[in-house]
Amino acid sequence: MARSRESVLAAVRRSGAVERPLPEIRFAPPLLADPVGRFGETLSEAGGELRQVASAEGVGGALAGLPALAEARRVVSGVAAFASRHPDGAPVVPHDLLNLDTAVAAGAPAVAENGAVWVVPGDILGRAALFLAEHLVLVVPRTSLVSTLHEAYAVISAHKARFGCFIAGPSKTADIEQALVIGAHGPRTLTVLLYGEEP
Amino acid sequence: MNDHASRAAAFNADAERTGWHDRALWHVRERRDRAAAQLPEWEALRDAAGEIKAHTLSQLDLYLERFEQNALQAGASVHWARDADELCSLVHALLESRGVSKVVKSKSMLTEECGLNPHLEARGIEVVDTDLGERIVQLRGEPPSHIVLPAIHIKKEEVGELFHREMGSPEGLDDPTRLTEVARGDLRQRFLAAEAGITGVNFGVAETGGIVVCSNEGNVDLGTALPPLHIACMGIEKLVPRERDLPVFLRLLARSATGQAITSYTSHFHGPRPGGELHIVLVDNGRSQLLSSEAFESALRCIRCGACLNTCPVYRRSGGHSYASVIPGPIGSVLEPARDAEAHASLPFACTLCGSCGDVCPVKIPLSQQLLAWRGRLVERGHLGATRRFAQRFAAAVLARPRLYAALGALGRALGRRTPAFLLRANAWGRSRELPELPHRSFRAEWARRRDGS
Repeated sequence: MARSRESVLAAVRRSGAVERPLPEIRFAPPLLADPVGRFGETLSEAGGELRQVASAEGVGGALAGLPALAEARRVVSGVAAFASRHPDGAPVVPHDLLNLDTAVAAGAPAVAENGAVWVVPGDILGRAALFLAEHLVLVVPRTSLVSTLHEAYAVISAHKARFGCFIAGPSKTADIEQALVIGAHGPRTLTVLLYGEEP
Repeated sequence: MNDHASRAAAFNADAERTGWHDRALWHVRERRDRAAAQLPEWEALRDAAGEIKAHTLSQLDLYLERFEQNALQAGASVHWARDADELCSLVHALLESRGVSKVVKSKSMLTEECGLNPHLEARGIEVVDTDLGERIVQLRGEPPSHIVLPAIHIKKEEVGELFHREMGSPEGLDDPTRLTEVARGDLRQRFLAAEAGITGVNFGVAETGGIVVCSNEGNVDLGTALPPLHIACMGIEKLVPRERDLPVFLRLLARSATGQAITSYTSHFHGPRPGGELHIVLVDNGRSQLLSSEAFESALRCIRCGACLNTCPVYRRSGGHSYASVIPGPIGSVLEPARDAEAHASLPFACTLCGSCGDVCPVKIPLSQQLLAWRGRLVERGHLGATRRFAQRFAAAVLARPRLYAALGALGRALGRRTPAFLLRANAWGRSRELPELPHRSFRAEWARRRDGS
């Protein structure tokens, strides 16, 4: 093992490459007239749906009214405004979430250019729920909206989380004759609930 | 003969299918164009991406050590493999020592390159490819024909027959949505039963020791959130220096690959999940050797988006399997001869030098220049077929002798008009072409006549 490591590194060093400069990354964010509208468009192109509610206080009510939650029997929720539902007892390992109807998670920032939301689940159950659930709902503060992925990385410090994921739309595939099919392995729908007033 | 041209001819025997394949890939190329056109900074992003990779490759030993140190700090285990054999035995040892007999794998061209599946299967470990396209080709016992769209060569009716046979779906089912649903049900059980998940890596970040994996289906995440053991196989060229370099590549990757603004899931792993294990295997397998080649080193910038395949007029009309290599298309035709020049000698010639591959490459690899450079080297090494060798020597001799050139030109014009059609058909280029009407005088004669005679 150690031998392989030294051997690979030595082989790389032997290439004797001359150092090339590392560019600074400077991409000025575009001035979007309607960033929320743009996010709604890109999210919709990715197969997701945007809902909005004017205040943080309204989140619980708005969630309860969503089709993905109104009828859901089993729910794993990572947000205070909506309680988890475990009619068969609390899950212990990810495998207990096999029949999960809906996962609710907090996310931020949302990215206008591509419809993605950065999500850091609290624990392994919350993480597995994001991908095992039939439906996924992400609750995102409107103030977190950024225009491009560069600005998103400037605020997320991805390395601080053991696992973090940009989620853009529901699970999808086009592997059979390029026909887009929503709901490959993971959630069949994604709803992003953007809350808070316009800044 | 076992070369690209003869395998392409076999693919082209079904003209209807060739046209269908060509159109499907051109459609993906058009989606890429639309996505690229939406970003005014597209070209600046390509420049930045190419420069970041060029810099990283020029300091790769330092970045590898930095990455290793930070990944260890985050709680991952880091392993090194010099070649495919080492990767395979390393992964097998990890699985065996933990008593693993069922593995789910998400898409990784590196494990294809290293032959990991057959190695593990021969030792009694069940490996299930979970990307839908990969699963389809796995069940058919075929390699992927495209690095992003593994089953692009297969029709939905054929998938229906396959799933009927393998998963018991109703006979005659050919609706992509319902077929996907069948696979979803079947694979869900396999995710739940798996004891380990193997993934590839799209990007490794040196300054944090993190790895990033992109997917649309969610198979990467199910395969790493359910089983407690995650083995990530990563080519040593996958590094970027900093976290803030990631958006440069992520903005280019999905747009170049499928025209999406970003994949559904872009997952970042820093160390194992609580109570689990994350093993990152850094694989060389010929990369360090390529690094020392001035002409081909920049091919290591490749982020495996597949844009050069989709745009290539030869790839689109010959199919991925005609390359008989792990990675087909323009980038494969550069990378594969570096691995085995003799076996893949025909690939750099499966190219019209139109240059479209380099034009769409998100990291600006000068692919057509590299393909041309390979041709020169293959000729020097004597890997050119006898016909081509003779033709090139003959052409060189004629072009170096103006009088001979003029004489043969006159002969050609005279004979060309009298060539029967069947003789023309005997030549590969003549098979689907007519000879143009040949002029009675050469260009030089005509030039002289007009200059002096008018």
